[in-house]
Amino acid sequence: MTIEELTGGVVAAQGMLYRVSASVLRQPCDQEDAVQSAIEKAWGKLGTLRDADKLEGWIVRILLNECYTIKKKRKRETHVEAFAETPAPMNADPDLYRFFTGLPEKLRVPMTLFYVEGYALREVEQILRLPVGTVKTRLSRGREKMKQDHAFEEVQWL
Amino acid sequence: MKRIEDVDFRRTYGDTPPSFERRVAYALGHVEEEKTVKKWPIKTVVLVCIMLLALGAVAYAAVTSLVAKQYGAFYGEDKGEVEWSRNSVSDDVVTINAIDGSLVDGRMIESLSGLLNK
Repeated sequence: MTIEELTGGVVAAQGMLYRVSASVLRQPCDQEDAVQSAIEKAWGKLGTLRDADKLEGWIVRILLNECYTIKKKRKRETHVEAFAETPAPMNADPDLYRFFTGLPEKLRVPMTLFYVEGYALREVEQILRLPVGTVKTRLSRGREKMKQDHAFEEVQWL
Repeated sequence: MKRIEDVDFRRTYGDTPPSFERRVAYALGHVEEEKTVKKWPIKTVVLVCIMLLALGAVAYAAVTSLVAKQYGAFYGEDKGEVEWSRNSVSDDVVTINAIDGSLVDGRMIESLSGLLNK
């Protein structure tokens, strides 16, 4: 794995990296800090990645860890009220944004990876390092909440 | 009736902000700059340290044994102590290498030092 391959992979996946960081962190500056830190860590650990095909999932895993670290730090520094509702980002579907940001984090992250990014169940399981049963349960609970949401009550889930 | 496939989940978080793209480009540029500086893996650093320690130990042992061979086992010892042993008389007790012994006269020390040199 070379730096050129890492650069190409990151540039191709930057939209996905943004959405994953946005699923954990609300503030754009925190999302940017997380992605920069993730890229630097990925570069440092590049030798540990054996399969170049797994670059995307690998970097998502690193990014999520960075997001959780920043979130913990912010929780220590800032009062909870500062994380109150933020306006939907540019070109975001307001209903989807409201619904996803209203979900508890443990449902929001798997829902983002599965529905927004289109990862397969097994990939979500590997990225989050959770048993497949737990991922299925969280997705099912997320779907239930979506069905109950007035904006999505007409959506057919079959 | 809307189907789940019709929900455009990609629009959940909106477009990637330009500031995010700029930060990605900056971070990638930063790591590419770092690439020019050769990174030493931790294993190499540890291995080099062990080799240097081993070389240092061998060099010390070689110098010590050469000095002892060339100038005698007492080279570099406290001169006063050696002098004392030379001038000692019978029944004085001297300790060499944790062995106590009594001296007949200073000559015994010299013969003992000759033995140690061998």
